Amino acid sequence: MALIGGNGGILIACAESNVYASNGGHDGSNGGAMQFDFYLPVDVQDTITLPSSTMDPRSNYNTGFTVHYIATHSSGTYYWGNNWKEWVIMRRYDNGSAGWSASIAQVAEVIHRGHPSFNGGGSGSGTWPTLTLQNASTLQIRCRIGGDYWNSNRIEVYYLGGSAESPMIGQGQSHPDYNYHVDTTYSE
Amino acid sequence: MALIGGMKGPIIAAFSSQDNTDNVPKQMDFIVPMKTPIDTLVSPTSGTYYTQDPVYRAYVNGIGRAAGPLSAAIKLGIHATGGYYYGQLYREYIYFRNENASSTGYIMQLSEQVGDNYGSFDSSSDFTLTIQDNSTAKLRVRQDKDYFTANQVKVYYLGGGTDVTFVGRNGVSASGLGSRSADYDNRYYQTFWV
Repeated sequence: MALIGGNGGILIACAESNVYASNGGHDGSNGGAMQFDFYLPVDVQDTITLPSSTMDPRSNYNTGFTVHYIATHSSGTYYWGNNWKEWVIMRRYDNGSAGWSASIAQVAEVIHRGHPSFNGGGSGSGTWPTLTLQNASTLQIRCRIGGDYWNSNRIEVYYLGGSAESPMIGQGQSHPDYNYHVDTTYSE
Repeated sequence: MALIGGMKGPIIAAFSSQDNTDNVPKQMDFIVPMKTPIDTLVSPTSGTYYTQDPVYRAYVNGIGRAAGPLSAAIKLGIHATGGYYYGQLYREYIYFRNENASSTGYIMQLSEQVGDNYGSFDSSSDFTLTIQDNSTAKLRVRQDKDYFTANQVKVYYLGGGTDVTFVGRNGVSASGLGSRSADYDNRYYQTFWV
């Protein structure tokens, strides 16, 4: 069942680090930082029909320019607590030699430290997770969640909104009914 | 028409105390999706060190846990309006569950915007959002009273939770009422620990 999922709840990555990965396939020793990469959707918006007239403001529109609004929820169980962060990740193309460029900004956060040492301790923002750019052309993002003991050891990455691969419903739409029908034949 | 609604921003709960002429507090309980397993998240079953795979771990002990995730978070937006001492406000909340606070849980306010309020409109106490039963993820919206404060409240789902579609590696098509398969594209996979 994915009722909320049918209404926009999208989970794009998740992890749990309670078991230390002893194979050396990650960065960090026991209790050190663990990290994984995920990719954001940068496919073209195929519901947009670009006009042939160069007088149209939609001409020369580059569907590869994208912004992604995502949220991370990380939680710990030993030094326990929960942390919610929201992020905006933007991507553009440099017409010079730089090529694709992307930036990551944290826009909001709430944290509850059930244990005072959770996620960096103190009263400030959580140390983890961090998101860093690995590759702008594929929008590969690296998520570090800290160790599996003192900090967060579970994380979910939710997609909240943005422009990439989202359907166009305004002028220039090519198939506005794309993927929108709810069929009441299927019920539970 | 519900074109935008067909994709995003469903209303989880709504109520009005417009006819609450007794001028007493009025409240409403509703349940949010924080406990259902995510059936679109499938565990890897093979590969080198696959039992240490972050997706495997999340399936076994994290957000995909079959018996229900032990920790989760959901984002809600609440719009409250008043019609006499008129005014409106919008708040965003995060509701957390954690296995170390299994009997309580906690709600934190993420942001607030206050609208075009009449001077006597009480924007600070016109409603509260509390946890009525953390074991069932039941929340309670309570209004001070009708008339002088807000008397219509809508609760929107904005993200997070558990009854969602997983579109990452090992994601499968969703099932059930209202489900919509996200096009799984293996270009958007999630790596092993790196």
